[in-house]
Amino acid sequence: MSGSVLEIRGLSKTFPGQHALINVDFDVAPGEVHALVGQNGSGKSTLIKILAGYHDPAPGASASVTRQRRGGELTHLRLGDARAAEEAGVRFVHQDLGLVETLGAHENLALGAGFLTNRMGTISWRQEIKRARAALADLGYHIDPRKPVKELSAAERTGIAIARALQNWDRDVELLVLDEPTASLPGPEVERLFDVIRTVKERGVAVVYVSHHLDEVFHIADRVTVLRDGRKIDTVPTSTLDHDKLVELIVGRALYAEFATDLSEGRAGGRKVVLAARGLSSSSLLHLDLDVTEGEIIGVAGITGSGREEVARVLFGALPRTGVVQIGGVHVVGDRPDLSVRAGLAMVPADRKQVGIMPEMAVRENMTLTDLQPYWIQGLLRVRKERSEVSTWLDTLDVRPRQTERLIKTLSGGNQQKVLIAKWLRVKPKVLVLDEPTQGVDVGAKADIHRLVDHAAEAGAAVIVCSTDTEELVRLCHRVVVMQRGVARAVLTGDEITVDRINQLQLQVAQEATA
Amino acid sequence: MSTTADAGAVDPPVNRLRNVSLGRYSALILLALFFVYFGLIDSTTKDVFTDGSNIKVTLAARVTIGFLTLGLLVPLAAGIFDLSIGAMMGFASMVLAWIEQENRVPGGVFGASVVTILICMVFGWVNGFLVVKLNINSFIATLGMSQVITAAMLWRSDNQRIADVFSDEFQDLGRKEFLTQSLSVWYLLGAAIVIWYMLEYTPFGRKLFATGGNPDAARLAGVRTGRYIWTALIISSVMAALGGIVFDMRQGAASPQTGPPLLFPAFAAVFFGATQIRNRPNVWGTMIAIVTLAFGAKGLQLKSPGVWVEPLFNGLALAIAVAFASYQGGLRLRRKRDPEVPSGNLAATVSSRTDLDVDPSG
Ligand SMILES: Nc1ncnc2c1ncn2[C@@H]1O[C@H](COP(=O)(O)OP(=O)(O)OP(=O)(O)O)[C@@H](O)[C@H]1O
Ligand SMILES: [Mg+2]
Repeated sequence: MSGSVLEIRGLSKTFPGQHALINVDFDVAPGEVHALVGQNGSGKSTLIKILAGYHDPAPGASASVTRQRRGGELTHLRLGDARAAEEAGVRFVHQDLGLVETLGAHENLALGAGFLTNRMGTISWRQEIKRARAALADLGYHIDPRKPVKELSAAERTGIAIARALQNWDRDVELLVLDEPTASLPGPEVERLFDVIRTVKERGVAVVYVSHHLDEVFHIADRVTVLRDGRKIDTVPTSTLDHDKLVELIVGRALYAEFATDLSEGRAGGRKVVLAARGLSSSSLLHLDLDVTEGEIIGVAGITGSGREEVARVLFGALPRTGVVQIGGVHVVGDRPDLSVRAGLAMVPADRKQVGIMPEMAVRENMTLTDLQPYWIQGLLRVRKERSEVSTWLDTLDVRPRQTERLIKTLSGGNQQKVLIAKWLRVKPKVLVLDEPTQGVDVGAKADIHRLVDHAAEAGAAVIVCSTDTEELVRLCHRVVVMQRGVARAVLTGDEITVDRINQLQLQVAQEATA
Repeated sequence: MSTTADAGAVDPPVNRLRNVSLGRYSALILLALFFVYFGLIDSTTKDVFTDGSNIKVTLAARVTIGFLTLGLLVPLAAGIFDLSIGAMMGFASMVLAWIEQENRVPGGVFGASVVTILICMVFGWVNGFLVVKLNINSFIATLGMSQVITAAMLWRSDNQRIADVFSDEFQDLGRKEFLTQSLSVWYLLGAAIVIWYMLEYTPFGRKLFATGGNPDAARLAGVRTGRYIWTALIISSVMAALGGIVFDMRQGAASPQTGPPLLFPAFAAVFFGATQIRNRPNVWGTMIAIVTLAFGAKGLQLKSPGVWVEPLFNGLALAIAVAFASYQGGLRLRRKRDPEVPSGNLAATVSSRTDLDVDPSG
């Protein structure tokens, strides 16, 4: 096929005990946005990582890039070579971004594009910082480039990774590959990313776009390729599909009407308050008051910088705070996660890679760390008992593969997320705080997780969901708080909770903020 | 979903074979090779090498290092280095000798040993304070501590060794034999079992590994990481003290020069051991590593006597074992870092490259 920017043939990959990709062909046409979708563990990231040279493929695969910017010159890629794709004009934003956490944005950008030097041959930091600031501003981010990346929010980090990938894009980028760039971006920022994608697309750069948000796929993609269990199911123009058909392609069967359930009938009235927060302040929150009753699910929305990113960690006591948090009338000390856990608080953090998983430890060890007492019998940690409980949870959440002893880092992103949720659900917390609970989770698993959250609430837990996924808030919550500049600016209840209303409010307050 | 759940799985037998990597057992294989070569093939060593007394002497000579490696394992599980352990061991052996010399502690040598352990625990506590409360990198804090301990030792001893203060009964505890091996070897085995139990079969050990695996994640799961690090440093000081006491038993003398040179061989054994059996610091991997290093060095020494043989051998064996384990474990070393995986705990650090190369795309 001569009309492709990227052409992959016969790509297979086997990890110990598992086929991640089986004989996949994949083509990207010039200037198109090509969505790559599939359930957790279907092989999307693996395909991308092979292209980027992090994994070697099984023998027999081939790939080539046609360089539109060089008069259609054909380059055969040596798959598994870390430089090959880069040199052929392919740029990546990986699922977990791959930034150097301790360096600032300017250094991270420079590492991608080469350092700017002055006449003496030393690095000119002033120029670097200027360049970084400009590149980020182009994407609509106003971040101090010198701030270490680890201190930034997930959305800001995504911005930096995208800015890095797009450096010099009008000169030598043919193809931009984005692996779940929106997993932790709030609605308005997704729009901004789409603007960027449209701009590069107009200039002839093709885009491969991985996402579990199917509405985004319909919004931005020209064609979509579906992977299921490592096999390519089909590549189709999005215009010939609708949401349900796409879901069917992904899951292999129709998903029952999951999103239609109505749970928002007068829950809060007359119930016992489990969590009471008064005057919570932190570096980005200002006197937040919050009451959550048993069985209630409260949503927290807001654009990046609104304080939404910190609500979960401040409530849980993972960040320094002032103000009062009480659970069942009992005061909980801040900045002491161990005491919070003992008081019945649980938090699934948004930043899975940095503060969620222990990458070199088994799934089992990751899951049971929150409470080892049940296996500590007569002076011995009973691993067999532990394993069987973990197994049950893997079944409940459909974590794949069902291996308790596998290192968690070898699970796909969405499956890691499920393990982190199970880790807290198993201790039956009184207050469950979820920060981006379904980031990077596929449609089927998302429905599973939502159902589990419902169950936890029905069993009497107070649940707080901080999310950039507006549909998720609508699906789950009885009340939704919209944040602006560290303050709760609006509270929606009942019928007011709609995607449009929340997005509109987020944007509106954002505009007020900049005005 | 359930219909396709198993589509990605490969047959279990194949799976299992693939997962057995020789690198995880390279120490045992090496050990066997040493016995075959030095014990059967090489004519200059074959009469002596497999001799019962050679085995006994070789093993007993490693007991002190053995205690140090056990001591290092505990903080390493929590991702912390204790570089003061060598100096601490030498210090303990001197303290015991001083107490015996002055003879002021009731309870004889037993009382003296308890006091020695307590003194070392104080130093371990200070290490913990520096690392946890003052937030000093453990590498730096314990390096500083090792110098302070060495200084204290030199000042008090005037760099003189102390001999003839230990009773015969005390020395018999180290010299006598049980089941063909020196008693001290059995002490080490006992200590190994205790540490093994602690690391693998108690919540304490699990939380220690979690702390090493990702301190932030562990903290958010309710682990008081600071306490675990602190405790680990105290435990390592106790192991150093025990090493010093057993050293005195075996040698019947103490010298300020003994401790510090043991630091590298102890680290070599722990790092080597962390590539064995399972890919993280573990007791039996480390014990096997010690034995392998002991016999390898012994064989070479029998062939060509010289003090330089052992450090050379330690260094080479460590580098080769780590390289072999990384290769077999399928970890890619060159320019192929998994963009989704942060560099994790010690085992990963040991078996993958530790320099800060930058992945080109991600
Ligand atoms: N380094 C690895 N070692 C072993 N197995 C791996 C490794 N990386 C990925 N896998 C397995 O390969 C399969 C495909 O994973 P991949 O990360 O490509 O999924 P994905 O489609 O990106 O999923 P997600 O949407 O959850 O990110 C998974 O089952 C995963 O467990
Ligand atoms: Mg992925």
